[in-house]
Amino acid sequence: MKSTKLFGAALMMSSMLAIGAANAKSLVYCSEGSPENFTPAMNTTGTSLDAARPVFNKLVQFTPGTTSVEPGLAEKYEVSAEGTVLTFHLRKGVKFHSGVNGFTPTRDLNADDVIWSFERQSKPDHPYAKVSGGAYDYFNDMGMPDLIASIAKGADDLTVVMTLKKPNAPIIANLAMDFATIQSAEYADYLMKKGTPEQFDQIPVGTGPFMFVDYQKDAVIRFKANPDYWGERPKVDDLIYAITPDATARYAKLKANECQVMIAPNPADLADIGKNPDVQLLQQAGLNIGYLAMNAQKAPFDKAEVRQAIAMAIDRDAILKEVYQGAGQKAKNPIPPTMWSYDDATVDYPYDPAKAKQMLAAAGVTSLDTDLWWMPVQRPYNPNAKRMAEMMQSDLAKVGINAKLVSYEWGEYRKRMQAGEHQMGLLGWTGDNGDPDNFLNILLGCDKDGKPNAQNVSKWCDATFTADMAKAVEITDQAERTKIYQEAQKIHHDQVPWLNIAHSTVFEPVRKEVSGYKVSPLGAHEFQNVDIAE
Amino acid sequence: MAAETLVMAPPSPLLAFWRSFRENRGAVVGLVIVCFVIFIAIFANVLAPYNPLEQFRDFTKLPPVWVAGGTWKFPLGTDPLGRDMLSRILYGSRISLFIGLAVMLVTAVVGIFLGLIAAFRGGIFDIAIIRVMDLIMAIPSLVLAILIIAVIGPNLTNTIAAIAIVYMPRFVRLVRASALSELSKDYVTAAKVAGVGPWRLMFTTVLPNCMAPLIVQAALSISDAILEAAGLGFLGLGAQPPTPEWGSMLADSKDLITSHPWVMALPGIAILITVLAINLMGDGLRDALDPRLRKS
Amino acid sequence: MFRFLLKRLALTLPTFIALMFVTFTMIRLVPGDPIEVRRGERGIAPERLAQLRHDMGLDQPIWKQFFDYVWALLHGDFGTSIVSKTPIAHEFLTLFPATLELALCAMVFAIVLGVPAGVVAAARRGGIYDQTLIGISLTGYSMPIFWWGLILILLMSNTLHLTPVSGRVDLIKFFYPPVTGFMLIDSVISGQKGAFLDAARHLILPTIVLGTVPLAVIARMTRSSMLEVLEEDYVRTARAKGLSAFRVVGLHALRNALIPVVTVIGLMIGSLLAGAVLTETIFSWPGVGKWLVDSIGRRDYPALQGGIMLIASLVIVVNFLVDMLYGLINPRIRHGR
Repeated sequence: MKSTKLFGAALMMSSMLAIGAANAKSLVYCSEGSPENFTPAMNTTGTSLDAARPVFNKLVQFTPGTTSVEPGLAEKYEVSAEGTVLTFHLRKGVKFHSGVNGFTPTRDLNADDVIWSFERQSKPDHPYAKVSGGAYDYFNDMGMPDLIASIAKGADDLTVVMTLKKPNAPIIANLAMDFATIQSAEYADYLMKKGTPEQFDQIPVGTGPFMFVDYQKDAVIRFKANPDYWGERPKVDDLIYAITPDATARYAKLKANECQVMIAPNPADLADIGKNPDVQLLQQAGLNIGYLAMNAQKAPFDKAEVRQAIAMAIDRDAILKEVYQGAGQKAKNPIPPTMWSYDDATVDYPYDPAKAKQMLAAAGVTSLDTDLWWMPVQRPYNPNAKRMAEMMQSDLAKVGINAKLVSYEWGEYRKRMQAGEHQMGLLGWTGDNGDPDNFLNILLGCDKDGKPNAQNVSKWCDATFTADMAKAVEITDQAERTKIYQEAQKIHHDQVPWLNIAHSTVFEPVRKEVSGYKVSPLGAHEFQNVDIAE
Repeated sequence: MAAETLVMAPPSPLLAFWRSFRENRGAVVGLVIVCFVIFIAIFANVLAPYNPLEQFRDFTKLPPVWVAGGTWKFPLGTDPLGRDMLSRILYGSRISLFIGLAVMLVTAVVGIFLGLIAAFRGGIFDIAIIRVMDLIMAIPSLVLAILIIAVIGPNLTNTIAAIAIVYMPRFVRLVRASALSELSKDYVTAAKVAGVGPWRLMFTTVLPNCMAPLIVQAALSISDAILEAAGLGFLGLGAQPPTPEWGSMLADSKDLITSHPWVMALPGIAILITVLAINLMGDGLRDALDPRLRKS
Repeated sequence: MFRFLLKRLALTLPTFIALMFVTFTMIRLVPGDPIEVRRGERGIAPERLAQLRHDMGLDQPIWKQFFDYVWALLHGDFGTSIVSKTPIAHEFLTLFPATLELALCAMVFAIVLGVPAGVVAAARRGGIYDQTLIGISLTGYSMPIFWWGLILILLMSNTLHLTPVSGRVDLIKFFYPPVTGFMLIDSVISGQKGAFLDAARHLILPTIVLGTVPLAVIARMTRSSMLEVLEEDYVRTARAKGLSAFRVVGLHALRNALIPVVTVIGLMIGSLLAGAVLTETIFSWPGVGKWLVDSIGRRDYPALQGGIMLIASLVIVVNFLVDMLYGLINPRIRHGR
């Protein structure tokens, strides 16, 4: 039975650990929640993705701390001239973990594993498609079923050929995302034969820098360094995730050196953390944007001048101070500064209520009754939407706009905003793959018939913008794409379908003894390069 | 001349009660404190130096005046949004007392009604009511309250409703047990024979004789309600910000226990003092009202 | 005796049925679709939503869902968690030992300190000890326990560094497989040096916090029960016979005084579980209480249904056992109304 196997494995591990404990270097990470399972393809929450990541690799990966893509399991790849055929050459001699859950691999990584990992998500009749619930959200959300025509073995066992239905530049970045994790087809067969396929998603076997040791629900996840890792061996021997949902408790543990890395500190503690000599407060602008959308299909928000006036009527500095409490920076573009093609030359709208009133009057709007939607849950880009809405309401009142505050339960809220029921509404977005298309096209683009995309809650369509998006997604030259996206940002600035509010800042405090840890713009927490000074 | 015997009229029940009550020093102290809290609640708008919702953005997280960095301007310090702690605690007494009284009234009125029906009508009514009460008691109070609030939404009114439902069984069982024991007594049989209708019997004959344990339970339910509301507020399910309810003040301050402990300590102390005072009073009431229950 | 047992058992049945019905209904009344609420800004395409709802059986008519639910329950299948995709019973059993260990320690703490305190207070009624006991125990159940926990953490962990901040074990130093799920037992089994002490140290604060209210209640109940018993005739007789105070109080009186206290202890299980929710939250204690509260936020229907069903059943069973015990001790109950 599962529990006796796990017990046996754990007993072996623990005795090994106990013996080696005196000399082993351990890194404890205070995480904020429990993983749902250990298969990244089935998850969308950062917590679950973090829990599985140490065990796995992908064809390509993001260089830690950046959004640029570097080779992973594929040591090189080529894109065909038309941009529809991708050929990946896998590294030789990559070994899957041995000894976890009684499984010993008989072969190294090859194309079969890659094909298995993708087909589980794309083929409904795949033997593992329905195991553990069968929901592959990211694969579907990133539009992969409409993008990938086929994936097959190439010239040899270590070559994978992926054929696309149309050229798509961001696909490489997509393949660096966690859903594209490569898992072991052999392990899957082994478990299927044993009759326990659901263990595949509970006890993970991968090629990654760390091996899974144990998971105690809601308490702790343990990993140990993979001695046969194809890349640079991790500098710590044991990696431990201490699941600590309470932010205060996380900081208390960090101070007591019970954990060395933590995430999501309380904004209220930031001042203290900054002053604490034992802690380094690492920070970076998050790959996100919080905005106030104005429904361009509803008068008077169909007039750009009205939208521009509102942009000048709202005091964003006050919002940054009071709602973000310093954990954010004012946004002048719809994409965050950490993203390539960010146009730093944009001149932001000033806070000028007098001018706003003038412009509104010029546009024929003297007094206006509108609604202002706010979400009842905390989002990464907006810590307190209610408070923000209240502040905006009072700013708008000063220019003669009477805004009624409206809210719904989160699922409802999102559905209705996507249906365009609002006039003004707060929302935002967190990037998935570091590609500008992932922000600009999804949130502001329209299809070729002029219909706004599902997540385009401003319901705004600009012909030039749409054309730009369509062009940029298909060409591979980044310099050319940058030019196009910069033009797109200018259009956004002039037309103001949204008021850009802020990009929240991600803070990750680590102990001073920790080196090599980088804050990832994509919200990943990675430990293979981390070292602790003794 | 015939000697006149001096006959004193027996003291009125109220006076007798007061005499017993004040023998218990603790109870009197409790009474004084409760009166003080009621006074604060009523006159909060006069006593509080500031509006509890007003934020002084330049004076956030100030310590109380007796700690270094404190100032008499904000005697008990300020919270992270710059709101005066003294004012918030004073106004908070209104809400906590309101919750306590509201819950007590609802559970008492509904509880008495249900308990009497169960006792008098018996049969299917009795069984049904008792089963429902057992069901409510089977689910741990906080879990049930959280579930109820998840269904109807977190705000002050719903908090009162949820807590009332959770504490209802206690009242119902108490009333039912008292009524049942009274029902077997002679005076009730006599009244029935005399032709007193069931409603009159319930409310005018039996109920007054059950009052003693009911009053005690009512007093204690106020303090229980305040604690339960604080617990729900702590989990974010009670009165919503920026309302200065003591429990949600504790929730907001959870992040600050190491850096600014008074933001958490002060509302907790307020709850403690109020609930303790009510419990002391409850004890005194119990001792004074029912000699059978005395000695505890 | 047997009839009494059977009768009592039969009485609990309708409660179970009502429980099933109530948990099923209430959970479906919580606003928010379980799939939609967990999605981010993207939302979900209508076809996929329909597919997922179909897979989870959420598109069936309500009465069929209820019927399936009851049918599964009767087969011991408490459902599968939407969030973790593992069976609820398995999740519950994994987390329950943590809550149980905490609750048992809190109960032991409350009894071991509370009963003697109450006895002594009763024996020296009115004295300074008695007054202090009443005062302390009143304070004990007048405090919000989560506040009390935070204060203790502030004092003991942060200022005095006497106890660890949270969790059940020092993760770096100790790793032993959970045989029973009780850290105190598992640490001894593992044979690792210092493990037991570590587990005990982690238990100290949560035990004190969870056990404060039971301690206060037990102390007072013991005291008042003892006082009543001490007034009884047979005690006076024993005293008149010249038995020492210790024998009078310790043996004769105590045995009888403890009867109501025992029933109170049994009935406290409900409030212990409620208190566990807050205690587990503050100390990051991976138990059932916290899991239930988290499940509400995650709209994990099966976890909520199964979890509440399991906990409430536990409470009903314990109450039933306490009833039995009381019936055994007090023969008047067995035969009368």
